[in-house]
Amino acid sequence: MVLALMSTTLALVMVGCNKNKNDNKNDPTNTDSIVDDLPRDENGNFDVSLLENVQLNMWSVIGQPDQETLLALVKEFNKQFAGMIEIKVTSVGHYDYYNALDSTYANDYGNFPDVCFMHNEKNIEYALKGYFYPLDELIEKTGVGIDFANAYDNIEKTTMYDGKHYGIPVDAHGYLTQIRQDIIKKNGLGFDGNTRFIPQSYEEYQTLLEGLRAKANSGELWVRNINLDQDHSWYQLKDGNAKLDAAAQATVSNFYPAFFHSQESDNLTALYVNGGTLADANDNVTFAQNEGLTKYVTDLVERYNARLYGDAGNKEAAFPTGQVVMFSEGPWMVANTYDIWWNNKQLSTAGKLGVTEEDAADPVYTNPYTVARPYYMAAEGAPAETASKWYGNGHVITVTKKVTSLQKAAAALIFAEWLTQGQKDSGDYNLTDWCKAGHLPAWKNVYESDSYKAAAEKSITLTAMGDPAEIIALESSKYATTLIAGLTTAVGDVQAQLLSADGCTVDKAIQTLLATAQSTQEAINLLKLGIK
Amino acid sequence: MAKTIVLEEYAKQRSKRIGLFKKYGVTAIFLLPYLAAFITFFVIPLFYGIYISLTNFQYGKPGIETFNSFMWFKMIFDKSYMPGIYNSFWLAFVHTIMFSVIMVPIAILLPLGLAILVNQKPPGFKLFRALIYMPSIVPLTASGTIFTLLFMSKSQHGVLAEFFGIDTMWFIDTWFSFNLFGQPVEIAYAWIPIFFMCLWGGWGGNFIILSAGLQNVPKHLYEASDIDGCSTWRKILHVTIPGIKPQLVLCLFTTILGYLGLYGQNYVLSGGGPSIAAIASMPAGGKTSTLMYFIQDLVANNLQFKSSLYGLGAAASLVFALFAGIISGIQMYLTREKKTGTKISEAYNKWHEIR
Repeated sequence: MVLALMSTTLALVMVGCNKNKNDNKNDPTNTDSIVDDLPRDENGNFDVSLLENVQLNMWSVIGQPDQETLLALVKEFNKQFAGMIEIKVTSVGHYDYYNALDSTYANDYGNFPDVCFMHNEKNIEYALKGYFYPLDELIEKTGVGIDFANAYDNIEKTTMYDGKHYGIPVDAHGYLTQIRQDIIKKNGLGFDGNTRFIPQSYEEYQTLLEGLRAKANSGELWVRNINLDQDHSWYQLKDGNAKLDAAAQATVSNFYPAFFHSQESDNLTALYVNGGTLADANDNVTFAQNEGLTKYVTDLVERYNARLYGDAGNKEAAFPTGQVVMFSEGPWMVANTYDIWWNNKQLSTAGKLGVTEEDAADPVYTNPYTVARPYYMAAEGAPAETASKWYGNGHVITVTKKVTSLQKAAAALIFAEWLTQGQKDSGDYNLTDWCKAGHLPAWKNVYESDSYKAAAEKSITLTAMGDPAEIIALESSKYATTLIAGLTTAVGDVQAQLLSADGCTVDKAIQTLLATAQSTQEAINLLKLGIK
Repeated sequence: MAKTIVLEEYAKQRSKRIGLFKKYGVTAIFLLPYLAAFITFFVIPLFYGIYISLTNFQYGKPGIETFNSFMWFKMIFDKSYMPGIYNSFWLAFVHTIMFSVIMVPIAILLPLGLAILVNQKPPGFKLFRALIYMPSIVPLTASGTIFTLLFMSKSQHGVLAEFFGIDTMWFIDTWFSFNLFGQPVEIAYAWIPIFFMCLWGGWGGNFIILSAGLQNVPKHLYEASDIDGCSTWRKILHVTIPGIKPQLVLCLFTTILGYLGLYGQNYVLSGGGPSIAAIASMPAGGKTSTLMYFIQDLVANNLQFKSSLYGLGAAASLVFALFAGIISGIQMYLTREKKTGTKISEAYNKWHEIR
């Protein structure tokens, strides 16, 4: 009894000690904790040269291979601002980033970062937890030249809540469809007289899927293996060929025109291009009410059941062997595979590994792997203003409430301004270097610059992603994680049902979508009870 | 004015103090480190947990919470309050109970059988002993990878599918379903890999405890039973089992508690899934979720839940602790040392000696 009383008292004392410890941090809009210690010259003006060894700890969500590019840029910044500002980057993998952010905020605030380089879809959710400053006031106080008028509105909106900016947008990108254009051409299934091999609409995509399946079923489909050091000769699909089976090559039974779509990015593209939203302004879940998304889900079922889509195991392994002609993946896939593996030089060397003169002379056959935006997501009746667009997320730079000195805030903003708007002596934007890794700039002046255009011409990823103005970014929501998870779970469940012994029907898929949306609504209602 | 103390009284008091110190002080000094750790890491968190379960506590923002009129407990016990939470909690409860009921006897009897066999000391028994214990030293994540590779689908080149042609989608398909109190319960095939992983990874611990117990069964009892003409089976039943009762009770206690708290195996193998659409976004909204999964989803796995629903996690933990305590209490009562036969005569002799 005494022990119990002692413990309860101790617990209450502990709570009492913590009382109001975080009060200031909890108000998202509060900037009072910043002390104005900005060094100024005799005229009262601040200049970066007045800063002395301001150190900033930045957490980066960027993984390899892009991490090297970011680290190189930070190194260059530190060199240019030596003695004034130093950014120390801690790379936290994207699997751990937000968990680590929460845990450090709660338990180890001393090691909370000063600056976060993070996904834009999480910006407002975490800002509303009280982690980040609204930046407008800080920009005004420090006079750092960030002009949001140059940012793309559609990407900038992910950083805004209640008219305030909680992050500085850096870039945007979406999932690309990886395409074996050589197979499409060889089988005469291309468009515009077999001169274009990227489907540009829902109808073209459907026609292509059906054409590939029909040819495969009749044993007429030509495929080949484009993996490095493999036999690149064309052959027609046939079942029961022991040699092909043993070599894990494409056969009629393991061939699929397209692999299952990714669960997250394509779902959101299907929702947004068809005019849908995850939730309305009152946090009512709305994604299941969108006809375009419903069509996307029922198409999954019908296409799978018609063997237009399939689960070919490892898509990265199936694609180069010709078992799969299309699949969806992030832009980083191109950097990993484009030149080295799937568009390798062997394909343009006639007489070796089954490559004919005709193959070696054809630019489509020597570059069989290409990527494109998912133009085919807009169903009939999609609003004109969204039908040709696509969903993309991106990265932002935020200043956390760990920063209590205006000097530090200024240093963070100077870094953000340098990365997004800074120019080299040549006039090239620093952001262009970052974008070469496979990101669209979130800033109009960078996208319109000659240096970016030159970089885009050389990059199949940037060419495929096109205009940043056509990105539809995630709607800002306090419940973004739960909403995205709800949609992802719904589509993932339908895909799982398709693979199950009982299979899935259109009706079951619609029921799954509706039930999961209802469950997501309950989760949000639950969170509302918890989040004050 | 200086106090006058009679020498005799001083000596008496000093002697009393030394006596008290010897009697209680040394014990207290030895107990202190444990007691400090026990209070710090168990008692305080327990009462802090009770406090959290009664408030709208938010992770990372202690000190701003207010009393919430038992809201979290109402969610768990009152279906009309928040049906999704009620359904997912009690479904996780059903999964936990069902799995424990099936798993616990097997997790005791199989190691017992193996221990008895190895105790016969057949040729190479030391090797068998090492091999039987070996799975227990494999980390959970590593054994998770092994069992995932075994049970993966044919398209993913799972071992069972490739070598034995078993094309069951272990982590997707539903095995069978039934209604319980009007609620549908779907049992996933994923429980089978979970079962085997638990069995394989868990038998070593019980095997070692029971093997050690078997070494201590008095040999003369076996000799006596031989003289009485007992069969091997009767010797096991009437000599071996009673002889290792303390070890069996210990194994039963730890195994029951272990499987009531099942989490790691289903986390690494099935992620709690496949999900159930109607409660997919709730904590433990899957067909292989357990009570511990429900709690973990609230306090660790789901970042949004973690930020704001710690109180529900604490309430669920308390209900789970109460439930585990009741089960353990029943088990302790049923397996208590009953004073019969020699125990009664031993107790009488002890009492007689004191007298």
